Amino acid sequence: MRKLRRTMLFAPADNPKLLFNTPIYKPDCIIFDLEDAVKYAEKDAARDLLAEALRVVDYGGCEVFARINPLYTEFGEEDVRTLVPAGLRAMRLPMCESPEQIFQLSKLLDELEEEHGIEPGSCKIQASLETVNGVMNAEEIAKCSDRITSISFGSEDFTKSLGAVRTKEGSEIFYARAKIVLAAAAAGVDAMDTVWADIGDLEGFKKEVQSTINMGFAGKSCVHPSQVKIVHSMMTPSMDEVEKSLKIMEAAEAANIVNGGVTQVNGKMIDGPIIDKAQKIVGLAKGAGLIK
Amino acid sequence: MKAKCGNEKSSDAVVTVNLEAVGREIKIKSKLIKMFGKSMENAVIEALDELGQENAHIVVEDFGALDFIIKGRTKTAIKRARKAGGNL
Repeated sequence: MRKLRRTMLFAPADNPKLLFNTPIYKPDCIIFDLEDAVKYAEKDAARDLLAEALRVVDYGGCEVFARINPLYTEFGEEDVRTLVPAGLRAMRLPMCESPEQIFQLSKLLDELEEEHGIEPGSCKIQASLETVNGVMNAEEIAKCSDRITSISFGSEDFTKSLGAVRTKEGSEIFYARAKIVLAAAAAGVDAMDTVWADIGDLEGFKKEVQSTINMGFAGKSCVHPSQVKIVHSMMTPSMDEVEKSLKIMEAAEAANIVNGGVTQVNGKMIDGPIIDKAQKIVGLAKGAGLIK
Repeated sequence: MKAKCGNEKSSDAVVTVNLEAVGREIKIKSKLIKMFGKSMENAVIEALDELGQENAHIVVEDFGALDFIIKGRTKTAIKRARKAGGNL
């Protein structure tokens, strides 16, 4: 079963308090930021703080990511060299534009895994696509390495690189978001939606989360704890949906049609796509702790 | 030769390092020194040991930092001092 990644809550890694109190908000994933949220002069300090935090803090059920600096900056490689031995196993590579950038990071991870006796291939990558080139190469990037577990979209840099105006309604990013969801699905990895920066506009945020769900994203990057609760409430199935899905799965199994064929539940036709959706709902419910 | 790291904010610490020293000298300034002084000192010693730094004068001004924060701040301050040319 895939990991639940409904929410990925950003926390600047140079803020000591956030290194230990972010799990209180119970996001599915925490992403400690070493990139845009950290001043140039504090990059070294943020990296050292995060390394020490990874060694001692119990993040419970939260999957911990670091948004490292790109490898073409003077900080990126040192981020990886410091944090992997400290326990980091998932990282977001920002401004990713090509499979070659993933190969470069993967090669560095190969070296560190061998040097520190870490299981080969256990360090995973989320490629962040936030430029025109990155989005255009989404399919190749998503498929290029077993280390890729997800691809994410960054709308602010993307609209800047496109020369488009970023609006709340978001028509200017619809194609890019759809392309990323398709590329992720084709590669069998998760797609993470972009952030909603207007923290005060929770109604606008809810509308965007509905679109996140409708389009098929696995989750949304969040910039404030208040957004986590909203995403979880909207992306967690109701018990009614879960019970219906369980019935569908039971019926499919009883009729032996899990791998093809048709049956009925309460007078409604059940076939492959409906069984797949039921399995997805049950998977979400299990991940969210609604059922065992 | 000298370097500093950290902020005068709650849950943080300011660590000042001078590598122009003979041996290790550690000074902790904290409201909680009676309760946690030893554990803060140990965090500094761990940082020094892990970086192989034998000679250093270190001052920690604590604002309620957990040990791992003090350790991280100490490591960064030492690395900054070395970069500035103070690795004796």
